[in-house]
Amino acid sequence: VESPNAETTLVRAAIQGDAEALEQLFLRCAADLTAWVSRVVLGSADAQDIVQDTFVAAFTRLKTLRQPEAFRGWLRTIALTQVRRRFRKQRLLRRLGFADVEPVELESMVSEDAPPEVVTELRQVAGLLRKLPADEALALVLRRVEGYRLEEIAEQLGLSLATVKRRLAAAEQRFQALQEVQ
Amino acid sequence: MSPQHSLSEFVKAPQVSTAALHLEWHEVRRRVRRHRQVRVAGTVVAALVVAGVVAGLALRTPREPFAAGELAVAQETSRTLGLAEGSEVVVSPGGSLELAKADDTEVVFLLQRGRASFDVQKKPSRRFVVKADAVEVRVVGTKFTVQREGPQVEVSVQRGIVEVREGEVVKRLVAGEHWTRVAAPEPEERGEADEEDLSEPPSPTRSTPVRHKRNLRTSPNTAQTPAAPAATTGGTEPLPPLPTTTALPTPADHFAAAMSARAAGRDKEAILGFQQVCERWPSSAYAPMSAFEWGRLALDTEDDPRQAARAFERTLELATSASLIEDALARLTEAYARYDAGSCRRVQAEYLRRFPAGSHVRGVTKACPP
Repeated sequence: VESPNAETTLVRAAIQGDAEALEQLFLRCAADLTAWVSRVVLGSADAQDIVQDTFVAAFTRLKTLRQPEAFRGWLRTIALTQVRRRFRKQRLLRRLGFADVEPVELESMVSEDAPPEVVTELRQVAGLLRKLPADEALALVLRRVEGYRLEEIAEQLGLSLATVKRRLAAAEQRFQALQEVQ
Repeated sequence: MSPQHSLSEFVKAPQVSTAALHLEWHEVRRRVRRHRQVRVAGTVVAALVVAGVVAGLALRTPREPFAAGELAVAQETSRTLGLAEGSEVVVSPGGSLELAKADDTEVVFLLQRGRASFDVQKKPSRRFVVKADAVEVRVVGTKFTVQREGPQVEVSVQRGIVEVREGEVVKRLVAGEHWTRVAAPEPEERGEADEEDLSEPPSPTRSTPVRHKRNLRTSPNTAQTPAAPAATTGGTEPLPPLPTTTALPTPADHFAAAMSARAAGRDKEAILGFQQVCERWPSSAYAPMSAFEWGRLALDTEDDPRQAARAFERTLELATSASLIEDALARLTEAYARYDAGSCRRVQAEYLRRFPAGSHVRGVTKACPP
């Protein structure tokens, strides 16, 4: 089990320009972040790219990190920015007719002991993710899949609570409509 | 974060191998370095641009107003003159330029001697003319230079297009082109002159009314284009045939194939693949990771600590990454622990010396048999 203090020490060293500390941080955090991003985007295909973009963004502005002990939370915030950017780009490309809605390969990601209703719900969320506006999609997945509280979603997305409520309501409405159709 | 209700417990995390993480790290490190280099280069370029602008403004000759009927004579330093309509003229030392006319329809300069450069404000409704002896240069919006030494006149265009007129003859010069009229032609050049040159009317100021063929200087970019090799320009020597090569396997291909073999449970094939990478491409980024993966397979699935020790020793020879060296030392301790207590303690001491706060300290400390 990694010691939080050891990680904070590494972050401080990395901020001071220690290259080995950067590498250690990456090796300690990359697997966890990949797992988390895979759950947020409900697919592992994009996760690796997003994680790489996240670390590049984080390491090039590490000096702006005010609280070294909050490194992992900060990484997740940057990762969400990368996810949002990717969702927007994919949506734009689809609207312009340059890309199709890619089928989600959930089989390899859902554990064998998942109840059928859970598999169905995950499939519905994954299907909607590719169609909703980026912020609605993120609010939905953080709420439905990660089970975050509204305040936590607002903090992670850098939005006001009211905005999160509005976007989540819109996403949930579409989600309910999809469930009724199916 | 404290999830209220969560589907995430039913979503499996993808397995990321140590080797894949190390490969990822290489890519992240490369991109971070590139980002920094680009940022530094951008800062340097911006600083140079700012310095250039500041220096340019500081060194810029004050612009004097120039009105119709005035004569500007530059003695030892150049003079920068501005017309009310926005155009600018620089008269070089020794030059003499008269602004004969300047109104909404026409601006006319008379270059009496020397050199003058013109940066002309684009204004289609008025003619902009520079007369130098019998030569007349007409422009719309451009930047050009006219030089006159007695009857010799030279015109250079830096931007846009100008028309050079001499009697009935009109030449158009574009940016980068240069035109010269000299007074004393070589006799043999008369024969080389084209019909247009021979038919032109004599200039009253020239004792020998022959205009040389204009000397067109191509723009630097064109001039510096290297000559194509004979074989590509229809020369007599044909190009040699391209060598017929088959696609050579790269270390990346071998590494990926070995990883696939390992994922499919074909451990011996995977070991062979990793061995090939680190022996055939020892300087590639894949070599240290391949040696490490080879050792892991030998130790964990083949139960062959001697082979594993060789692989981890090889990893230590190839690796430059501190984290990989740390991992390899830890696994090497584990391998030696199974058959060579002395080597185990030696490697254990090495690990603890180099990584006293490493992530494998606890396991390494307990690894060697008493």
